[in-house]
Amino acid sequence: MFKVNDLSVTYNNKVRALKNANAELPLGKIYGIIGPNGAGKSTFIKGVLNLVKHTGSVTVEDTPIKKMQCNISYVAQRSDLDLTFPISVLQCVVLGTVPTLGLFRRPGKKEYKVAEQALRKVGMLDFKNNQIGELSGGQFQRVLIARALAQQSTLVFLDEPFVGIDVHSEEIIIKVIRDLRKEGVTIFVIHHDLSKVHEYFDGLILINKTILAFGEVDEVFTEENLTSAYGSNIIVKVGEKS
Amino acid sequence: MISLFIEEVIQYGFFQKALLTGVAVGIVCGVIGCFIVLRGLALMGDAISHAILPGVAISYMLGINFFVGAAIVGLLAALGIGFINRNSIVKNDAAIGIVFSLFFAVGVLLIAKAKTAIDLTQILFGNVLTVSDTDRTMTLIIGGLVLLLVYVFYKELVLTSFDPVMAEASGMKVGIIHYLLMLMLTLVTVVSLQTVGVILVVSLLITPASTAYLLTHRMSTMIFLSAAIGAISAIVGLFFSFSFNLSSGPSIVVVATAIFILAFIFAPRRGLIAKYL
Repeated sequence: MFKVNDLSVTYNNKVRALKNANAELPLGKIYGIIGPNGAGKSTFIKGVLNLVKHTGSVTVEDTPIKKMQCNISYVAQRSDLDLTFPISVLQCVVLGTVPTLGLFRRPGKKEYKVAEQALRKVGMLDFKNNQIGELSGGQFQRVLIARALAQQSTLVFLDEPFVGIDVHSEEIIIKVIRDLRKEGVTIFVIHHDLSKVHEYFDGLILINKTILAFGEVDEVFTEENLTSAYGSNIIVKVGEKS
Repeated sequence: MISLFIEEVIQYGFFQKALLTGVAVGIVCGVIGCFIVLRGLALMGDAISHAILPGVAISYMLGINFFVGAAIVGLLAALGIGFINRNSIVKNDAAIGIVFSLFFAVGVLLIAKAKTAIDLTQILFGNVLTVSDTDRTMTLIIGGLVLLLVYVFYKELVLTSFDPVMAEASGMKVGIIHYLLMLMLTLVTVVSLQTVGVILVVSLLITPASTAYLLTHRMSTMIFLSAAIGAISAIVGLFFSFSFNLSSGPSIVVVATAIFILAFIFAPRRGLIAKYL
């Protein structure tokens, strides 16, 4: 079980970005995190991952998440990274093995092999010697997914992985995520395109300043829940798209 | 002229000492500089180098080796900047400015008040010809220690420079790595004191690293290139310094910058010419 107990995040000691969020979700599934802009979706993930000051607790199988953080992969929004950094695609993916390597060990043959396998899975092995700035948005996103794969984590958090990328890359990433689920990995994906929700996810976390609803897609993706998160206009949109 | 330079280096012990120290400083600054540049900490490099001044003054007053005092004060400055950052809305560059100006001011006051034998100009701009045997040995030991630390923590330094958020999410101690780098930065500044002085250390930190950054897109190549450019700048700079009786620090800085300008214009792919062709 992935449990969130009373998670609250307050920025600059004033603005409450997230208040008393609670959820309890089975592991080994793909969860979509949805909600309107500025609802606190990224904040929720950052709170869960101890990247921002917060109150409340998060546990995985009753272990505090802080104690298993080397088992977590997190892919933030692409725009935060320096694309001129002097690093090749392969070396970037090898960095995924660093958190679990331990203090005095360096990435060796085994780690490079893991990285190459991950690159093959996302169809980017041919680019392994390219500098990361030479890739398209979708290609770079696939490289970051490969890095997350190379970490061999049990929990994966992706923040808006499909924004601004090509359809081909999106399909590959979805396939990779589904393969991960087969291996028992739990994946959380922040997502804003409500039309793909049924296709992509097993469960949903609906957020607007707190967790409004969580559970299986059909339970969460109801007119009542969506209205409370997005306001009354959203229902028309959902109807049009699906 | 060059043969005369070589002859003098062979003939006079203090030339050898100066050259050895200068090259060591060029290499170490080049290596640490890569991480400073990639993390966008150039201002921090400038700040720490200025901030160690009171440490030098206090060390002289207490009669201890100035490496110790400077290292402690440099770390204090880094911690102070971090503390202001975390506990107020003051922006990072402003926090850096506040702290290092204060430290520098206190340093100047201490040196003036203590009436020690320290020559302020020498600390500010360096004079590699006065390097003593002890200082040279200290420079080599501390330089070696810094290089060893970079070697041991290489993967952590690279990951936290490239993607600190991912590193922290995966449980790495990003803060500790940051302060480790600040400690190394302080040590490097201290060993550079006599060669280029506190005002110009930042140039040796960021100019060779930026030059290398323009020339390669591999981290390891960048580090070796940067170290080599630092060393060459030191050698050529000292050659001009000896030949024309110029201050060593500014000479080295001018050479390093000349190499940067060459790379800026002619670098394949990232140079000015490549850009407009």
